[in-house]
Formats: sequence, C-alpha cells, structure tokens
Amino acid sequence: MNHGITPNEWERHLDGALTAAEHERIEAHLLGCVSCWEFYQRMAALNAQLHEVGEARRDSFALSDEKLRTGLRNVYARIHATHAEGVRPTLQQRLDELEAVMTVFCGEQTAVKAMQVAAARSPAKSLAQVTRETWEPFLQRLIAIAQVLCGRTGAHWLLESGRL
Amino acid sequence: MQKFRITTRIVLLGIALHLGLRTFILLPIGFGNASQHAFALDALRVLGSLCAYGLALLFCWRIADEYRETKWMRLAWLALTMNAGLSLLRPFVRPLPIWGQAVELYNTSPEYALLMHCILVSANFCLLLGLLAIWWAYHEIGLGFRLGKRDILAVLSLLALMVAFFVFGDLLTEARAYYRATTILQVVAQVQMFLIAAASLLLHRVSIQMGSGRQAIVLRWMTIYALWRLGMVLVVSLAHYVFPHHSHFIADVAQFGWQLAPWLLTLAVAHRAELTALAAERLAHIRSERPALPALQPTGSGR
Repeated sequence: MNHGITPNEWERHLDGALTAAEHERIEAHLLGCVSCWEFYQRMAALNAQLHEVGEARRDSFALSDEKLRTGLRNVYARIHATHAEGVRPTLQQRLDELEAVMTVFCGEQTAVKAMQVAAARSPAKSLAQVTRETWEPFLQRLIAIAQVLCGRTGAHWLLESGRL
Repeated sequence: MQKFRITTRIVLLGIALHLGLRTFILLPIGFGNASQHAFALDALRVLGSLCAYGLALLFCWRIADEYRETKWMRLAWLALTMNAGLSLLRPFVRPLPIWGQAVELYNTSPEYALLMHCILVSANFCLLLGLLAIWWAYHEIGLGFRLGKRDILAVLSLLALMVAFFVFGDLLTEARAYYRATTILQVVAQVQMFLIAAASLLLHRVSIQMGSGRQAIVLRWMTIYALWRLGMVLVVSLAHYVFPHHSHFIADVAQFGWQLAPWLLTLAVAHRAELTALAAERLAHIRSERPALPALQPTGSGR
C-alpha cells in the first residue's frame, strides 16, 4: 500500500512533523481511504504505546545541554514554518474533503449529487459559486442531507471536515 | 485500550458456527431424522435465533439513535428494532425440549401455529414499514433516487408471482389449519413477504445509485434478507407440494435456510453499525486536532 504517501511522510505525520500543506493532503486522503485510515490507526496506536514506554524510561536518562539546544531549535523552526505557510485551507480543499467523507457513506455519484443539491438550495445556487460568504448556509444544507444519508455521527464528521 | 465491538466478522463467525454445528449434528443421523437429536438441534435453533435477533435488536436500537434529527429514518430504524424484538419471541412459539416439553419437530399444534402467525404478521408489518420508511427518507431528500422501468417491472413480476402463489391455495402449509384465523394470518403474512421483497427492490435501486458507498452494502444485505425469506417460502412450499412424502427431509434441509435468515438481517445492520463506528473514530481524530463545534440542530426530514 502506498497511495502517494511515502514511509517517511507516514512517520512525520505520526510525529506531527509535516508542513501544513502536507498534513492537509494526507488528512484529505485519510478521509476517503479506509485501508490507509486503518493503517494509520494501527500505527498511531503503536506510536502511542512507544511514547508511553518512552515516557516511563525518559527519567532514567539525563539529556545533554547540546541535545536540549538542538531540540529547542527544531521546535522553533517548526513553529516558524507553520506561520510562514499559513494554515487556512482553500475552499476547493474543503469541498474535496466533504466529497471524500460522503463518498465513504454513499458513493461518489451520490456524494457529488448531494453537494450540488445543497449548493442549489443555498444562496450560492451552484457548487461553482460557493464562496466563503455563502459557505455556512451551503454547509448547513449539506448537513441536513447528510443526516439522512450518513446519520448523526456521519453528519458531525462532515461538519468538522467542512469547517473553514 | 481498544474497545470490544461486534463487527461483521464476528457475525459471519456466528453464522459459520451455528450452521456448522447444525451440520455436525445432522450429518451422522442423516436428513429427515432430526427428531433423534431433537434436544441438541432445538437448543441450537433457539440459541442461534436469540443471538442473531438479539444482536440485530441492539444494533437497530443504537442506529435509531443515530437518526434523532430525521423523522423518517428514525421511524424506519425504530420499526426495524420492533421487528427484531418481536422476532426474538419466535423461537419460543412452539414446545421446547430445552424446557423439558415434548417436541414435535415436524408438526406444530394449532395453538402454537396461531400464536406464531400473530407474531409473524406483527414483525413483518414492522419490517415492511421500516424498509418503506428508509426508501421514502432517501426519496424525500431529492437526490434523484427514482424508480426506473426495470424496477417497476420487477415489482409487478413479484405481484404476479404472488397472485400465482395464491391461485394454488394448497401451497400454504396452514391452508387447512384448525383455526380459521391461522389460515387468514398466514395469507396476510405471505402477502407481507411479497410486499417486503418489493420494498427491498426499491432499496436495491438506491444501493445501485450509491455504487461503492458503504451504505449501499447495508441496503444490499437488507435486500438479500427480504428476498431470501420470500425465496425460502416459495421453494419450501413448492417442495412440500411436489414431494409430499419427503416432508421430514425437506424440513431438515429448509431449517438451514430459515436459521440463516435472522443472521442476514444481523449482518445488514452490523454493516451499518460499523459505518457509525468508523465515523466516530474519524470524528474523534479530527476533534483531537481542532476545537469542538456546537451540537447539530434538528432539521426535520432532511430538507
């Protein structure tokens, strides 16, 4: 299984070391790909266990000043990178995520249709004309449809995924 | 820690175990001689039905809660919960060797037959209501879930088959029942079975439009469940009619089909429950990364 995600990217994703754009890409893929999601869950559980064991063992090792400085430098670099790239997702990214979530439940064709119907019933009138201003009413109409197609939990998932 | 969850794999394992044990008990004595091991076979039947319908009841109840904001879907899943609840009583509506009662595996006394059909008709009504409400809920959101000519033709064929079935009134096992009410109830139950099969075809149409979505799998299993029961009624009635002297053999073979039926319903609803579990996992994951949103507002029928 690859799906366009390298082992290195998986590792950095689990460590939270990806850039915002890389993180968005992988998260968007995870929304629609059940096998990758299950793989991610297994890896995350393993990672959590390793962290737990690491926590327990950490006190038994003293950290040198040099290692401490390097660690801090990495933290500052990551904070800087996040701010520099900007974290606001584009509308298209969010639309893709919404489609991916709905596809898991009701297939691609129905997902696209549901989004078109939600847009038509919102002030945007069509999917192509959905803007940041008309996003909320569009999302609310989509959630109303999703409550029938996906149930409450699925609709919540959609709502969180569609958040700008 | 990983929470224990009843998954579709566990349901499949339940089916394999139930039918495997039945085969294991029956094979040495041969089909048609089930009364030799009446106690074991009856205990297995009761236990299997309890497990299957019990799980279906729990799943349906939990899923009904998923649709608190959508009236038709909530009605549908509550009706399916009622169907599973009423069906839970079915294994007990005949003398039970496990309770020390004298057993007649191949005959049912008039009182039990009447009671059995009372429960069957009520359960079938709930099932029919559930399937139709699901279809109506999908139809109402306006995503183009419409019937084609082929669907209408399939439904009409089913109705024609129903008429043909009733022309040969002797096909009904309770055609000459002691109580007239039993015969009437059996006719009602059979009409319901045809209507349930027709309703399941509507859901099958929706599942085709949903393509690869996981909800489509749920609808397909529901269709299989409905058609399986109708198929069993038709095949078993026909077999008894054509081979009247092999009724014990037919009954023993048919029991495999009848005892599989509740598991098919369980499998359908287990698929739906898995979908909710997957959504809950993904939701928890997203929420761990972002601050929480306010709760959803009720929206009526989804419009």
